[in-house]
Amino acid sequence: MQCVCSPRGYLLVEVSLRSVAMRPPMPEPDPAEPRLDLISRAISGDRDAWQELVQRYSALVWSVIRKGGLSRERGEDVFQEVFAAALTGLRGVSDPARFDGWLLTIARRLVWREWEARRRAGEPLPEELRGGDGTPDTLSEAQETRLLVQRALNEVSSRCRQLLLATFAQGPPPNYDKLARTLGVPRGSMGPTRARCLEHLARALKSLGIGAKH
Amino acid sequence: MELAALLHTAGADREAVLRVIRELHSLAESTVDPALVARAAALMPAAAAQPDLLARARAWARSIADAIDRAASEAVAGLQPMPQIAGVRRAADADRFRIEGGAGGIELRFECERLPRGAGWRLVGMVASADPVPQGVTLSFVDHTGAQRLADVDDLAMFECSLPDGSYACAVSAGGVTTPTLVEFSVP
Repeated sequence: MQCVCSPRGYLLVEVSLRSVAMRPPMPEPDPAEPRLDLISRAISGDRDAWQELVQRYSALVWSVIRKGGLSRERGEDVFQEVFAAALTGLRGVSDPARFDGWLLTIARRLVWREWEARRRAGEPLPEELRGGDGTPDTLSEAQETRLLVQRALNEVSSRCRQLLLATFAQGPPPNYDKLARTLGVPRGSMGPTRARCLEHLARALKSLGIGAKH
Repeated sequence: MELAALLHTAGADREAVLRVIRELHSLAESTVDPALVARAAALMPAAAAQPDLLARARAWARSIADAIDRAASEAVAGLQPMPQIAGVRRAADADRFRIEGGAGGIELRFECERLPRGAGWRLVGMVASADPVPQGVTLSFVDHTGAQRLADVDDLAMFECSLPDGSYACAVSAGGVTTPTLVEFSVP
């Protein structure tokens, strides 16, 4: 604590922040390496690709678990079960385009299983888990939209993804100073960067057929 | 220009835009504990380096072993061309219902009708993708008490469901593969 309050401590903090602010911007992902290539590499056993997949899909899986009404503690167990199940079954994925739907289905089934015990006690299944015919094998419109949005987010750069998710989070507006440091962009360019990211996302959503019946 | 305006310009209708914004909010709010993400991300290297991953995984979460066992059947059920239970469709007539599903490469469609005077249900028709249906293909119904009724598909022609009204889960097993999470339906 004393160190933080000493002049040297401040200096260290300042240097540290400057080094973060001056580092080169994060590279944009190679446009020739879209989502499907990442999934294919993970299927073939590429550890970096798997880690990137987990990073990208963790919010999707967590949103399914939380909307399924599980407690945080049980939800964390299920979260891990989902990815363990996905890893075990990964080599069986013959069509990478179906990966995210498959992952979402695993998550819903595991949440569904948790609700089996509660159902026996008379608790109704949460609306979120009900598909068109009330089974876990069909996706509701909201879930299909969530998949589509996740796919679109996966089509934009990592920097854009972080910026957009920070922008769309509920509550107080994001701390743009902190965000600029995290993303490695000058504070003054955050506005234009955000506008470009929104355009990229809109293009990705359009290419996925947003607006069309899906 | 905001996303809503961009999407609208791209031709999306208002309802679609609202759905996208809602799901973006949902994903943005779904902040996962970084330690949890890191642990899941470490699964692949751990599995490669540690043949005893399963034993380790048991320590990570209470039911992880079950999840891994189940994943094998999910991989079959979710990814191979056919053997996923397609769901239970009720016929328009509340006195009949139809089940479509399968396992181990066998697809089944069968229909039950209500017996008079609340006597239960009986099978009135079945279509299988394999003829003859291999032995060992079974159909199970599980009621809310967990009690199971099993029937060999070969015997289904003689099988009267005899299920009282209520909620059930059903599953089809074949070749050692059971459809994963049981499909639930309510007898009308």
